[in-house]
Amino acid sequence: MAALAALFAAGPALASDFDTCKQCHADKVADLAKTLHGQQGLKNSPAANVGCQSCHGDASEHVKASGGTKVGLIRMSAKDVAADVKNDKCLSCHTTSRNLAYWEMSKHKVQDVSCGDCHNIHGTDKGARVAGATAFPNSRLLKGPALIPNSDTCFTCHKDKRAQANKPSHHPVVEGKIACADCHNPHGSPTEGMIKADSVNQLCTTCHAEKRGPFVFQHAPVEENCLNCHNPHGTNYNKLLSEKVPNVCQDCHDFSRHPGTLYDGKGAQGGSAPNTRFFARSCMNCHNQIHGSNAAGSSGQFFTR
Amino acid sequence: MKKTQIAVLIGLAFGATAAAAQQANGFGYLELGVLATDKSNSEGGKMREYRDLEDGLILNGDYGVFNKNYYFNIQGDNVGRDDQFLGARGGMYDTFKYSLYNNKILHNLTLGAKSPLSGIGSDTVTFSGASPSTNTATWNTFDYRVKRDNWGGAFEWSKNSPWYLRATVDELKTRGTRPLGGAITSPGGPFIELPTPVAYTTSNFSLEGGYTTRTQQYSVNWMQSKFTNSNDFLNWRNPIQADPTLLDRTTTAGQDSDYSKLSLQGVWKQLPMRSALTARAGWSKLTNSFPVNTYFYQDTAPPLFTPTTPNVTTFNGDVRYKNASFTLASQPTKQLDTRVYYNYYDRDNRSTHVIHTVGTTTYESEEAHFTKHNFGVEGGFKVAARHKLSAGIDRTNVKPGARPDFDNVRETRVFAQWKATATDALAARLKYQVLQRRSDFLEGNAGTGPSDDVYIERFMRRFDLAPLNQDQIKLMLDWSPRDYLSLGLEAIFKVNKYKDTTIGRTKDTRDEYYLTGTWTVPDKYSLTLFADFEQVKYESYHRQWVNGNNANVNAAPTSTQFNWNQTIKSKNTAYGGALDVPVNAKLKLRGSLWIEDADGTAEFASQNNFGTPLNIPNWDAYKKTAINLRGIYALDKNWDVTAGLAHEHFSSDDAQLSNYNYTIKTGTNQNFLSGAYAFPNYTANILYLTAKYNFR
Repeated sequence: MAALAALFAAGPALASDFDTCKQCHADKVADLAKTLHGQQGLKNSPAANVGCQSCHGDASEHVKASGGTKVGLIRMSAKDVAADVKNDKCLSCHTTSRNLAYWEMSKHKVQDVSCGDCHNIHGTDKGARVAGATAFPNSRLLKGPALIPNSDTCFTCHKDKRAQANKPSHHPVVEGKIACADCHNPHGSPTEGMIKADSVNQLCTTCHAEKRGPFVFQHAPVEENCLNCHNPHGTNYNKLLSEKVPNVCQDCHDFSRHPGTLYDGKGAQGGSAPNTRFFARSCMNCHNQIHGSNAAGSSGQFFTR
Repeated sequence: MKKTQIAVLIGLAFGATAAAAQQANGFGYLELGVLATDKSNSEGGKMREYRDLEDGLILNGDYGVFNKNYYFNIQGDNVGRDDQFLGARGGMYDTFKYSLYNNKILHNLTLGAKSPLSGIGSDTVTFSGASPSTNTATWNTFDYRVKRDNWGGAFEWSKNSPWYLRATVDELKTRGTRPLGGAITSPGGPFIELPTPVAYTTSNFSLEGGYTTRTQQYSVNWMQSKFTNSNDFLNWRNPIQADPTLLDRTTTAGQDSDYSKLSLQGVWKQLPMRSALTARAGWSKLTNSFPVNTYFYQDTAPPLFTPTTPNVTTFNGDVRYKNASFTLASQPTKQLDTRVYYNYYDRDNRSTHVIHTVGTTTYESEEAHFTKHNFGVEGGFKVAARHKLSAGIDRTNVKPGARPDFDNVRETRVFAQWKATATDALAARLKYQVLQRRSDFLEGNAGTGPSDDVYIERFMRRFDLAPLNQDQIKLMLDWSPRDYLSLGLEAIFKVNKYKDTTIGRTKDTRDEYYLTGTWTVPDKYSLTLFADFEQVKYESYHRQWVNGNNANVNAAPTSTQFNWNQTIKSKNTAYGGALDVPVNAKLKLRGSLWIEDADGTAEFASQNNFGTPLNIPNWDAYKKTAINLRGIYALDKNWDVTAGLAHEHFSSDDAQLSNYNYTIKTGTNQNFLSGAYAFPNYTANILYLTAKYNFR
């Protein structure tokens, strides 16, 4: 640990030409001082170059006019300043990042999302996380405090996904255990939905490898696309299913015996005719290997063993 | 205090002190406290689904230190708990960087489940006596719970040059017990819920080399993944099996497998017309190998274990994927931006074709494979400084190789969008999209006649590939009428009509509205309000009929053979708010309220009212209320203390789980349930007190 401390000896100071800006924007400059952007000792940082003007442009007119929100500077938060103009400032340094390889063709760029919409360029104190309380909603309503965007940041625009993520069946996104960016690359990907894999199934089986097979008996829609049955952002139904079982099964299966049977309220445990194909886990009470089976004969073909 | 907590506490404190002494730049915090939870009204454990809320210490920390050459950051959340995250990253600018992490994900499926079976947690579950006891007081109690423990790290070397080499490694261990259904007789007879052990390990390694400049980026990536399942089978005694020495055998979800992938990527920027071109190609292979099962359990003797005389003794799974993508994004003028793209994806399944034969009946494996081509063009044009019109067309052709019902699936998607930034405070986006899917139906002549069960296929259109007309409208508004006030609206309307479908899903619709508003008075308060409303509807049409009798949907209905339809509706409402009040320079109060209310129904109608369908009023309804109050008091510039109270109430009403009975009979058949997912309701109160030291 001592060696580590020695390694980090002699920390840098804030760039001195921030002093002018600091007179009016002390809070911004103080926040910036806690980030890499604010370090004069880093040769590529804004602080080591022309300070605030590295991103905001020439401040002379702004200073001459004793300030003013529309005087001279690029206002990164203004909606009427084109995203390209803002992003060009960031990309002038970050364009070689391999994480930005697909930025030019990403949906976010096409939709004029600017870097500052997600990243808090000035930085703020990282917020403390308290077990239990973290998962409660109020922290999710507030903009994510970290420099790196978290799911709260995504939910600011993707409000439908925020609603889904809070439904009873969900991945632990709101609990902070996985993030949107675990599956999606917000900077772009050639795959639809900007996901971090060549297909939905290859993405899902990254974590759910037990479902990747290959199985002797495969369930074709499972192999084609997990989204045929599941909504990974969250649903009202167990297992992130987009519909309840048996509905989601009956939308594809109708045959003699039982797939086409009318399973109505009478089949509930308290109903007049309790039915094993209706209550509890419904079809899954018997067809438990619906993602694929290696069993023999009919047990495999019908995914019951 | 747990060992991990002590270790992290000492490490963070010592590191921070040492770094401070050496005048390096260091920022972060260390937080230690206690947590107490009232769990008395949380029988099934839904409250703790992903959270470790056991009483005890809580430890969080985040500390970063950097100078002009190096940086290092360490973070710990819920240290020492079942939902712990530990991470560290660091490096030398422009030379190398590294990261290490451990993420534990807890998933409590159902706590306090019950089963008449013994051996829970192992790969053999059985019972003593002639049949399982129906006296649940004598049953074993256990938890359906899965824990994921993910370790990983990465190292990247670039040494201040455009070249880089990056290696990543991670291991995910998944352990626990989950529920599995076990059919006692077949088909459609009674069942027993089986506690199934989960012991999966996935190990991944990847190596990437690349070259990146302002104008070009190239990379080659190799990835290797190994999945192992410690339990190839779950052995269980079937309740109809009188002989206690005989066990049924249930195959677990996945066999061991290996996955490898090679991908290449190239990016060319600053091309003419401000263009950028990307190309990506990948080849991957998924394999496994295991003995083919040679019999299946039959509920009627003899023989109890029916041989299936498979044509091969070993199954060799072999699925190969190929993909390629090209995208050209250009900005020919300041007003115009365009995007042209092509994506190719192929799944080639070379796995062993297995044929099981029982008497004259054969059961053949189907090797799912398909090829997909996707291409499109989009353009956006700034018609004025504050208005942009965009439009695009996207086409996807899919050749679903193993599907007997459809071939040559063609999807065409066209969209138009208007985006306006009327002032620096208002942004609006309106998008209309139409999607048309057409496919060649292959089952038009299925079956020899209505007495042939397969005849029903003539009327069935499975929604994933069925001809479809989709309309979708999206509206987004983002308005900041004055400083510190922002309002947002998102509205989505979507209709899917499956135009040729007689049997199957015929239509589904979604109407969604999301409103948010934030009002801040600096140094006084910040108020955030939101309201969501979603309405979802699924419509479907079905036929109930008797084996070998009449699969014709146009036949006159009888009491045992008739058509019926179903409409499933779900309304979801959520609303709430959060208020932050800095009472004075030292004290901040934060509070929030979040309420969700969902109401789902299933409505039925049948020909001549045969089957006298009974609507389901509780096709998943739930209510959730969450209140969180927190006070943060700054003792000085470094120390603050936080006291908080969280209250959460969840109640669910689900027709499939209401009036729950572990030993319900259906007719004369005895079923054995275990309580899986049955008791999600809870009321929770969480109290916490922490002290935080901020490194400044």
